[in-house]
Amino acid sequence: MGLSKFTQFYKIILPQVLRIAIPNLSNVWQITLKDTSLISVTGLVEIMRQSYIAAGSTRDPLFFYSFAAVLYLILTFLSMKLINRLEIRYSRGF
Amino acid sequence: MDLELILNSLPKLLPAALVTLKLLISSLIIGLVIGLGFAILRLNKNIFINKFAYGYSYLFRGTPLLVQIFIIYYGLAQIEYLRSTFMWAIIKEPYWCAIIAFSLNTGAYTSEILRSAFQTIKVGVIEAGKSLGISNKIIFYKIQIPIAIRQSLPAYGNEIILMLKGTSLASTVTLMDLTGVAKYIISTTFKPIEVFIVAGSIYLFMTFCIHNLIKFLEKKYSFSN
Repeated sequence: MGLSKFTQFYKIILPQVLRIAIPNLSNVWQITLKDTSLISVTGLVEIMRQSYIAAGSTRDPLFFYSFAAVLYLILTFLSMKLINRLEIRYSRGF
Repeated sequence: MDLELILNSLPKLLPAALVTLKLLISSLIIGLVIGLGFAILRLNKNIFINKFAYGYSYLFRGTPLLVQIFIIYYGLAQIEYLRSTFMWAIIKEPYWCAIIAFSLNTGAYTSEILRSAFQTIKVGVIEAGKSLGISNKIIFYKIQIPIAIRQSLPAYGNEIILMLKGTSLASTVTLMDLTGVAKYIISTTFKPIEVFIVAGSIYLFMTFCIHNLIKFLEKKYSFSN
């Protein structure tokens, strides 16, 4: 049909690849999201580091770590919803 | 590069690797039992039991392992009531806390792996068993579980390897496992690269062994023999 290589890739190959790849990519996303908590070991201030500091200064680790857990749950929940929508979008017509 | 340090740290790290292995094996065994239990609950038709099992796996798969260890080690010790019961003897030890956290975590993943394995079993197989007059219990033990094990081996192998690497988090709750001892050596020698190379190679070697073991089991239990 005279499509250029570039258009072939973006309009034909990529949508088909994404449909199959998205569920696995979503797994990788989830795992990486949870692994970001490990960065707290090096001292970067993210959810885990912040709750570690808060737990240390208030002596209330149960609350702060549970709160961190809830934050991670919300993050995974929201990203799951988003990825599900992507999945539906890319499996249109199948 | 300090070759002498590499050679000197190896005998200190090897016993620590045993601690890591012990952690891994005990939490895998407990996790397998928990996982099997929750997988069966997930297949239950009762919506409350089903949702409860789903909630458990969602909770433990949706939060990082590090958070779970911290909640169990630092968090649970805060509850006054628990301190007065026999539980206190368990949760004041970092070793048991780590095992509890790892078992619950791997249990959640295992339940998910086993559930999908159970669901891929064809109805015809179970029906065939029923038509031969085999009782439901024996169908479950002799037909469903062996097929499920075979189905879930590759995924479970992945889980074991992930768990092996997860045990390194035990060092954050002052447990002297492989990573913990490596950190300790570094704090006295200030040479992280050498020590972590040794620790990393030990982990790599362990993953290599586990990987091959799973491959061997997969071959042994594959459909085509």
